[in-house]
Amino acid sequence: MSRRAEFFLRPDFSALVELRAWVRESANGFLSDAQALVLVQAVDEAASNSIEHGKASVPLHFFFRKAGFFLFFVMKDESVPFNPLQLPGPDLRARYAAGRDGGYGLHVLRNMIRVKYRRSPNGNCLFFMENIDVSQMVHDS
Amino acid sequence: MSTILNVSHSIKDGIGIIKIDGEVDAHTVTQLQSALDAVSDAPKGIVYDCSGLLYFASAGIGATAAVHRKLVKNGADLVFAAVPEAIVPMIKTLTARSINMVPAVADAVKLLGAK
Repeated sequence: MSRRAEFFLRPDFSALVELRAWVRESANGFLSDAQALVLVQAVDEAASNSIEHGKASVPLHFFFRKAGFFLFFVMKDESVPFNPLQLPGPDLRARYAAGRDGGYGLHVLRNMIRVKYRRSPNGNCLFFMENIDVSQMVHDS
Repeated sequence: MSTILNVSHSIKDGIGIIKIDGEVDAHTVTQLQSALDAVSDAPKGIVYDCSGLLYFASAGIGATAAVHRKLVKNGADLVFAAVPEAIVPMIKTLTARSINMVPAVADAVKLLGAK
């Protein structure tokens, strides 16, 4: 299987489907279905957030790398500084009961996957890390 | 890019049924929102038929929350039916288990019909 190590997402919600397809394809054979679903959702939520709040005007840059028993995905944007991990964790029950329309994706980033943030000279970097499920491994690269 | 979401809706016996086929994300959620707007006054509530659901981003939860709140205030409810097993944990987590999930649409209709 040929994998694209990087992906550029035009800052438009209509392109998110292409991003999810790329993440799924990249993670295929390395992660369990449950892990892949969380990873896809976390990356999708982060990209949606960047498009909506970060005022991204240039494509978001994604790449992935396998290192040892870990799979890393990185999202780089060139938008206003924003560290989603610094915000307080939302009270999901209260938020949902109040009928709030946003803030749920933040929970995925904060609580359901390992994510690190780094400010870059031109924008933001988010690092997503998942343990490779060796029982899924069918590839060498 | 081909269509990734098809949403249809109907009202029967005071229950709004919204059938969601495909992927709900920050782009396609507008289709879900339109369907919710169309059936939000259903007196007994709304059923999501999720048998064809492939992905449910938090934008879908956001769209659902306000309508669900309104329904509950009016003595009705919103029920997710036939959610694919893989997607169940994410939806339960993002709604803090504030929603009813049942195996089939018929179960949801029965649940709301009893209200």
